[in-house]
Amino acid sequence: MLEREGFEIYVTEEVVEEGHEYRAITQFEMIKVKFFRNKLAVTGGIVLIILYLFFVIFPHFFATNDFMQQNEDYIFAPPQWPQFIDKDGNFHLRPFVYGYQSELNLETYSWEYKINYNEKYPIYFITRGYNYKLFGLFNMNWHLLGLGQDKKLFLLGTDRLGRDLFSRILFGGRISLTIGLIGVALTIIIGSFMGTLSGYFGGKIDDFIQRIIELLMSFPSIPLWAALAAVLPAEWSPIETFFAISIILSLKNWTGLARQVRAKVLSYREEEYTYAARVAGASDLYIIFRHMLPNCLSHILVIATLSIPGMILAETSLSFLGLGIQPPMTSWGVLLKDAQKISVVLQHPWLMIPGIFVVFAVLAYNFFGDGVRDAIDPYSN
Amino acid sequence: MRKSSLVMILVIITVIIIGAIPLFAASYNEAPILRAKVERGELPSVEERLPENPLVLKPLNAIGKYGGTWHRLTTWEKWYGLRMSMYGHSYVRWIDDGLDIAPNLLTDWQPNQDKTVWTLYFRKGIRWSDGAPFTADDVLYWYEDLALNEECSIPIPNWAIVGDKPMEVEKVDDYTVKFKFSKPQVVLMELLATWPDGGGDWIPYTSAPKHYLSQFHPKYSDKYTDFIVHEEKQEWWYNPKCPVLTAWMPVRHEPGELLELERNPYYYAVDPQGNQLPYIDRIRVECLQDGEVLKMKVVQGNSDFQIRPGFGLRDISILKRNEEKYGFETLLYDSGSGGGDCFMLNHNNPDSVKESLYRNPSFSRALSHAIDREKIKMMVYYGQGEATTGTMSPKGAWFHTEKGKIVYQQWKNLAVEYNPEKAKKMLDEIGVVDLDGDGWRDKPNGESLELRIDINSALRPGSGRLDTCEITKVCWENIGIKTEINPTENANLNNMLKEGTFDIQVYTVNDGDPLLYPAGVIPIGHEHFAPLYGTWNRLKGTGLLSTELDKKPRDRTPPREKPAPDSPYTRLYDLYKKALITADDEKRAELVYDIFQIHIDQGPFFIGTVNNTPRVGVVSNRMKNVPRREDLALGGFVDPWIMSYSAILNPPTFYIEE
Repeated sequence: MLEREGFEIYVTEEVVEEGHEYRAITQFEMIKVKFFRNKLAVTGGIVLIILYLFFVIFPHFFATNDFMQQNEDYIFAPPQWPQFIDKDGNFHLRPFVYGYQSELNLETYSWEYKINYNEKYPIYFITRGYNYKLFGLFNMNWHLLGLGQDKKLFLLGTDRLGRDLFSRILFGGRISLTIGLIGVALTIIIGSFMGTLSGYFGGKIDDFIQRIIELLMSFPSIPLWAALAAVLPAEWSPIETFFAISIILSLKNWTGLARQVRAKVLSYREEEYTYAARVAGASDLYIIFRHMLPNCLSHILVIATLSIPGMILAETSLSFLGLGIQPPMTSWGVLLKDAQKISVVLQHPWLMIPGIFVVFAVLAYNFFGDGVRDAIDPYSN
Repeated sequence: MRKSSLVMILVIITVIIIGAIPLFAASYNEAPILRAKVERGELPSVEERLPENPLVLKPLNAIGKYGGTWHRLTTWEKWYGLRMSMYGHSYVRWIDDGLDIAPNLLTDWQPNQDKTVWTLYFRKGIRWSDGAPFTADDVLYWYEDLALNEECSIPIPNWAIVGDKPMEVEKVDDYTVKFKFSKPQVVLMELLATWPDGGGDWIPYTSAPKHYLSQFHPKYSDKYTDFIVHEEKQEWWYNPKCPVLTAWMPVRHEPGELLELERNPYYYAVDPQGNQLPYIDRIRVECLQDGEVLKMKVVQGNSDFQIRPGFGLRDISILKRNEEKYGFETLLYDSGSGGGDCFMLNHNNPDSVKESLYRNPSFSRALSHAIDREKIKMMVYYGQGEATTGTMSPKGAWFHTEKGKIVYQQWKNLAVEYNPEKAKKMLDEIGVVDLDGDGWRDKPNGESLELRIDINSALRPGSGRLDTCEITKVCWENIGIKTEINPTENANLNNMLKEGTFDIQVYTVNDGDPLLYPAGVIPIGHEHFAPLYGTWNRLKGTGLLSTELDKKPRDRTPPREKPAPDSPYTRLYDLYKKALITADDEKRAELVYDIFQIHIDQGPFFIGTVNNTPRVGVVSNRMKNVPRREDLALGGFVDPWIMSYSAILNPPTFYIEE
């Protein structure tokens, strides 16, 4: 019964001693304390904040180039690592890159890059670059990094159409990181609703929902996907397909959560406070929203944080298989699909870098989710 | 056409050569493994196995050595790459990249005056791979018992139907048949040379081993009432028991994994010294699930020679880097492609405003002028090929005459110049301007205009097609036309083509002669710029055409619509049909050039990008006599499947030297 706020306030008044201001900390504060003691979880959280700042909120600011711009002169350009020591061994405080020129070698059919050591471009921080609209509203041209002038900086190299990979990873992340959120939100809404319904009412409703869940769970995912890809109207634009995908992903994924919520609700509905509420004449709806759902909330939150990385991975693997998001839209899965060829592995290895970002995002979510799970039940050890 | 006279000279020369050989080389030589069998009494002698006048194939560089195994890789469970490498069942064969035709099963052929009756003379004494003689009965069995039998799935080949009536076949003697048509069949020999015959899918049958297959035929056997077993048995690439006429015969087949072939002891060709071909004893084709795995294996030198399934230009560098280490060479042949990846605007668009826009040559020319083809050429094709508005293949024989050269230049240069300002001006003139001030041009009636390029989503991002689309999208958006690329699942895309609901599709026009393969140039069938009209034209002469006339065009099965009589869709089709039955060479040429002229005057009906880009082949160092680009009459003509690459390179004359 410690969850009830009224009770805690009552305790606070009792234990005040002279000279010291003691007070019982609230549940939320306990969670906070426990969470911040977990270094891994905090790191995960910080990485997530950075990721979302970079990739979702201000991708244009962090991008070094327009991610859709094709550069004829820089096809399959290798990464330009920022350097501090030049070829003569002098140290520069301001990092710089050497310029390079592409040359088509028709003997080997490859683009060869010659570094031009006479062209040294210092990297400027917070500088002007290509024009964009901040939040789709304000015209801006400020970027975190740049070479100034008209020179282009390809931090992580370019792809087959000479598009800047670093910027593409940023914008790919915008889709990969948000498709998870949309999908998880739907999963949670459907899952908790169906689970509560199933657990609270029991009987035939329970049977019916459980059979649906079993049916959905027994569907093999990949063939289902292949079929869905064929069923979605061909005239839909990639953006519409994108939303359909996230909705469909969650239509299959809610089953796990629903089962867990059902188990919780089954035990809560036998609790005394539920009987008390019922005797006092509360309606089913009131009991569900006042007692059942809030009790399950901590559990639902944990499931949410832990299933987002699953969604990110699902998007990545589906796009990789050609079933999910399709080019010219950009997601991490689409970028990785580019890296599927042996010529990439052997010749343009930098195109595999998006994989590192996927690993980062998924790990950060997992650490963060683990921390939240441990913290949300502060009494457990 | 000048072909027939050339063909005659060639026939005479060949007959002289063939006739002369037995005089000088009275006896023939054979492979050691066959000689051993002959000595053991398992095989008749080589003289008995070969026909009276064997086909003589001249090796490219040297008389070869017998033996060895040719390793190949494929991802096609139907073994297309290998089947495309073996002329064997073909009556005649292409030589010089399709500039001419040479005998194969036939030694001679003779049309009557108006080309309605063709007399075909088969090589006497050809035997199937099991030793049974090949005779006119095998041709009759194929035509009368299989093709004409509606229960059997083997179709009547397109070339056999002239004037809406299937031909008749008459047996003169065991080695002579007559093909009788109701109207002149003027390009019979060219059509017989397309594809290495032998049947299956789109590859036509032209004969069948009666002595073997008739045991499964309901007419000849009481055991069967349908063709289910027959259809399984007739597919020789799956059924090693089925006799063949190819240089190698299948001996072991593991579905989806492996096909092993051994030399056909009865193959009817010899080299100029009288050595029976082929030189190579065995072929082993391995089927892989994934194209990238195939590339990996080829890069490690696991394929002795192959063009199909192919590699992209982007794979060349990886091949070249490993050439020395694994002992192979990367070959580049001309693809002969006419337009590269072409954009076909749907002239039967469900949106009527778009439809009239797409039919307006000014609109399609504006789109064409907006495309930066030099950029596509550099970024996708490593600077190879030539920018083009989109034509039939520059390798096509029609473009090699005085008039043809002019027509080709006109067509190619129709709207090839990269000139966004001109494009904008043309759009302004036809009322495609930005009406609502959002920065994008709108339809003349004020609705917003958005082009949608429907492409197959199964294309890997590394394939040049997607890149071409992405570059073109930017080009079209530069002149203010909003463009979207719509990757679509393959089955869905096919439906969109059939129902005519696509907006812009990407198609490659590779072929050189509209009379041999009209796809993309003449509206027949749904796979081109006017799918509903094309389906209507295709069904002409069938009973289906007069049905469902009360329904809307899109509600008919299959969806179809009658084109207006004076429209280019009808005129192209009529000219094509007329040319096909015009016996006079000059008049026929006129009609073909008229077809091209309609494309020039009212087109482009397909907006091409870059033509004749290279195709990649791989040959191991131990494989000899494989022609390089410079050995070929036209430098290669790989892309049209009807050109029969790589059968046209004479694989029976290849040999292996370790």
